Amino acid sequence: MSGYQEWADNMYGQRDHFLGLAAEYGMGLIGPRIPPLFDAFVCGDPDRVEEMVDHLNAAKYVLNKDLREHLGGAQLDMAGWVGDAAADFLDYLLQLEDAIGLLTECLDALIVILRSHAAVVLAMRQDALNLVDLALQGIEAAGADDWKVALAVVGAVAGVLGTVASLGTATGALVEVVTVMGSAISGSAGVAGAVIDASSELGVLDDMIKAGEGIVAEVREQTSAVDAGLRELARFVSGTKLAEVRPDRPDVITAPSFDPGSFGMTDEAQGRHPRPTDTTDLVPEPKRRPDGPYDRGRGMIDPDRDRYEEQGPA
Amino acid sequence: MGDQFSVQLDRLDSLARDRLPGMAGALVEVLSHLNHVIDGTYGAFFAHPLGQEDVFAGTREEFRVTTDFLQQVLQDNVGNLELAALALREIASRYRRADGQE
Repeated sequence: MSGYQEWADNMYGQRDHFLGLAAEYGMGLIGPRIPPLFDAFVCGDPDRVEEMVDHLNAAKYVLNKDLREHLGGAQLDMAGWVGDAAADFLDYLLQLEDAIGLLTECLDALIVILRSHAAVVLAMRQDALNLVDLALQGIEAAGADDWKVALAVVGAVAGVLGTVASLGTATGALVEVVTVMGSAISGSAGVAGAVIDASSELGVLDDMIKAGEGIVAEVREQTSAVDAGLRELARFVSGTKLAEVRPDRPDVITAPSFDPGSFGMTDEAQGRHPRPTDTTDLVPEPKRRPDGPYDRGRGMIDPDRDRYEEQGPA
Repeated sequence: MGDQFSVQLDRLDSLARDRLPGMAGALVEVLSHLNHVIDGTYGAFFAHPLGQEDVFAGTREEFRVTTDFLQQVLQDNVGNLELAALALREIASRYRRADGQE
């Protein structure tokens, strides 16, 4: 049985128990407020997030091992090739080296975003368990006296961001994403904890729902920081840094014809071998791809804006 | 054999037939990992289909957008490397043809 199923079964079991109590105490108005609370508590799955983070780490490894090895070899292979198109191609390879660094940071940023989401879900679960436990005790005791409901979720995102800040070497996408996320949660430090303070079973149930709704409200608050981080990363790879994570096509692709002198050998290497005379296009540059599914139509202000610019001629 | 002319063409072959395809292949592997990440979106931001709350609905959508852009960046880079490999193979072939080797 998966961790998720176990959690969902637990929460729905509690929901049914509280619904039974609500019916028993005749709380017709409060009963309908119970299911949405537990529906919220079963949202999100940290186990899936862990699998995603594993893939992102594997992707980073491939980028920085296999890709860098081949790139290093490619740069060496350019030795002795002279001319504008050859220099442009070497420059393209150097730009790709920078792109690997930037893409690695983007994956790091995505890992921070996903870990923050997982931390929010785990903290929500912890708070939900605490809430259920206090409510059950309160019902057992027919009341509760100013019992504090812990709100671990308040510090969830800040906890993850704190581990990044301590690395101290982060730059670029990672820093931008962490900064934006930090700003988004800066207001949540002062959130007061919810309490259960009631003199009857009915009052305890009512307070449980209010405190639970407070937990969910704070989950939404923390999640707004995760959303802000995702938007910042999207802006980074589709706008401000697109040209750096996706270097422009080199001249050997875009030039309409081939000039042997622009990708040639020194006179010494060429020796008595005749130079090529075929100057036709090496490869046709493909047309622009159609827009991706998320390029357009978001937002009323600028519905026609192309968020991700496709390459090549129209 | 072994003159500088053939050394240069060997380098171009290595670039066009080994290094650039190797780079494209590594990026395809990165893409495959990203695709697994994208496949996890529904589960990571899961909400019960019959439930009344979908707390992470907005995050799920933002995640799809951001990872789609990353996917396009990787695909574009793969495409460019494959085209560049073709172009350089063609250059090597033209040098050989001019030299009467093909």
